[in-house]
Amino acid sequence: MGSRITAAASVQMDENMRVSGNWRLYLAALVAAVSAGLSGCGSPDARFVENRAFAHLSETAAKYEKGFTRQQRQDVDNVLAALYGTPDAPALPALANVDVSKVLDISKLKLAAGRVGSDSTGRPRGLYREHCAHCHGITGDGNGPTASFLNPYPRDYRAGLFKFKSTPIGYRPLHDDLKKIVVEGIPGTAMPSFRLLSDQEIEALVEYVKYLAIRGETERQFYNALGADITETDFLSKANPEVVAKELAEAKEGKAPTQKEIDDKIAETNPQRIEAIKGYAEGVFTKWLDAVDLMTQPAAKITSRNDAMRALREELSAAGTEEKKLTDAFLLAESQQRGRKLFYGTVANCFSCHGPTALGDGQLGDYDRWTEELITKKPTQELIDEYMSYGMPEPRNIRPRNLRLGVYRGGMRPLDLYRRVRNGIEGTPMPANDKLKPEEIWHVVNYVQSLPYEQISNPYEAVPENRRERN
Amino acid sequence: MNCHLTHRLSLLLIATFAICAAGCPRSSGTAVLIDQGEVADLRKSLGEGAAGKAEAVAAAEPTGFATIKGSFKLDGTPPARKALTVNKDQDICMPGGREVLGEELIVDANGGIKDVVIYCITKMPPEDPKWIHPSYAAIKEAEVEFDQKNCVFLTHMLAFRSTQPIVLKNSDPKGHNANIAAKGKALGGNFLIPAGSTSRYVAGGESPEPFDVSCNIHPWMSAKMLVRDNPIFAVTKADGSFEIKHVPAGVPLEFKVWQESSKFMQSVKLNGKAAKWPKGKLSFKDKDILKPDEQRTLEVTVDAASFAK
Repeated sequence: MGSRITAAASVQMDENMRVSGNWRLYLAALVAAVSAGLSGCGSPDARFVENRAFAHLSETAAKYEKGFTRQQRQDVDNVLAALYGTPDAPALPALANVDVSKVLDISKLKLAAGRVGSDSTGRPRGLYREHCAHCHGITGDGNGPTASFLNPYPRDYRAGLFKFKSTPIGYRPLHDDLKKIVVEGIPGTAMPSFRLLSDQEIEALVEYVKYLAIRGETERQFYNALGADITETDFLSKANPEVVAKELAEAKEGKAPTQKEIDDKIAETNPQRIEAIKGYAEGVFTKWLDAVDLMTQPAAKITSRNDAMRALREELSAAGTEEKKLTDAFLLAESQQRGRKLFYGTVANCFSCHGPTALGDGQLGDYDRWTEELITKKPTQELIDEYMSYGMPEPRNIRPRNLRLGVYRGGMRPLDLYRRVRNGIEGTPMPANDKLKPEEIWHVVNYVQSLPYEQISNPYEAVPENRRERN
Repeated sequence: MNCHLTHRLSLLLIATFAICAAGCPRSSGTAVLIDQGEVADLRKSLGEGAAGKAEAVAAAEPTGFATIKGSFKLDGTPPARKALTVNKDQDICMPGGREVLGEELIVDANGGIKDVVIYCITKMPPEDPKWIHPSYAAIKEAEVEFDQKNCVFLTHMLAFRSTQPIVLKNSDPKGHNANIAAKGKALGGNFLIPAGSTSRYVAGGESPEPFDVSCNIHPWMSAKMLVRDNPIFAVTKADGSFEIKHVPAGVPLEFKVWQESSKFMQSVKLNGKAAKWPKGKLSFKDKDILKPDEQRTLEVTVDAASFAK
């Protein structure tokens, strides 16, 4: 803005100076202009961006022909800013029915928020922008400057969905699930390990990721409400004094209300409005607490692989297998054989997507949830173009994992693989399987872990070389 | 010479500006629009915490129960149902090589539209017998079956209460999965259902509109689910008819009407007269409020042009 004004002034100057032809003045103006221009440059304050793609989905569902109005969008943005603050100054709402501090720690959030730097005591600031924002974006929309170069794309946190976690599909991840991803990274993707950061810094980043996920989900819920109009969505917008005056006038049969009456009426409806806003935020926070509650129940405990192998040994022993034959190697081979049978069987049904040779080529036409919710299962090019114009990255099909590579995104511990089979993977076609017994899942895990080392086919065995013949 | 120089200098000046100005803004996406005054006001009100709690508004209470029944009929020629691409397990999914048709819009010989869902969106206390008839309370947690056979979800549009567990059944000799892409407060899920077996799904919360259920193993399979906290909803049968019993009477109510192909139904003919339902919203208020024991009939006709081709 400042530079534009100076520009206009200097054009004026240009006119005046032509007569005198004093070029020194021009140089002075040039210097002034450059410095004015540069001072205005810097980087502007970071701002969250709107979830336009999701807003468009909601306005399409609601058949708004012209889309949400600017006012409607601004209403959503205002309420979000009031609840969650800005990228430089995050805030958390005080909610009556949910203890927000059990989900997010505002002091840790502040380490991660803001510009990159450190405070007077040397403690870091702006960790999210230093380490995460270039891929995941300031808003956590998975659309940072480098995002379009990556495959897979960085996660968009705003749906609140995360793939690799200990909780079942439908539940939010635990804090420690996200922490594991930050510490270890995701093999086979661009997500690196941040193990070299201090624990305090990693904690701050995890908090900030949760914060962005919660903010983003609240935004989606507001757009959903605007689109489906399921509840009174007046709560998003400030009461309009003119409308209130008109309503009061109608109630009083045409007599114009006084200013005080209008103000009182607005003040009267305000608590309901605040209550509704808080209700939405509470709904989002509750999902994160529910996950913690679920995972602290005894049913969530998983039997270990050792338990499964012990049970197998006992079973084989009872069936009369000689004790000296029951070595660890023998048991593992037996478990892998059982796992193989399950892999190709109708209960586990792994091969139908991972392919008959486990190369991950059984099902290639699917999209993940983040993409499919916008462009449906079978999008037309027009639909894809439409949503790309609203900021959706170019869609890619989701592929079942190639199990021959030995690279496991959710972690390579047997427990990680167990969870993928038992709980499925959120947002993807990989379903949960509660039909397999725990031992059976461990057999599948053992088999899957053997796949990178198993021959895909059985070619003719190499004939032992005949040394004498060659010599 | 001097003039020449000034000319050059002024060009340089303008060019410098252009560069400075062009190099400045770096933004991607649509930055949020914020009214600082409004945000400050809101934040103040939000900070009031429990003290600022709204007092419960003494709302009108129902005076009895009524019945809503009627039908949805299509006016005009329905679009032809599309044949689905069955590219897998044809022996089971296409018995006898028969084509499998999409179920977005199924219209019978008399124009009756199947799978229109009509549901009440007025908030009501979940336990209050004045609102929820005892016959509904009795089946609050009754199981609902959701079966699939020959790679077709047998219930294409399933509406149920958030307290009702769904038994996901598979009557095929092949494995399926039910990938439930829930919306709103309903929990999502993705369940593998081995051949001839079942799985359980509990939504736990309601969804503002119907959402997709699909099978990733057989990608042409599709169904819709709607989860509601209250029991006041119905899905039309093959002949387009529906009936909702025990609807709270004496209070204003709002309903939504949705069909997969038309989405929220907007312009219809209600009992012969043209009616507009903004965003699919049908209201019973003022003189339209249901009376106790009333039998309200809704004969709805929808123009064929309202449906996706």
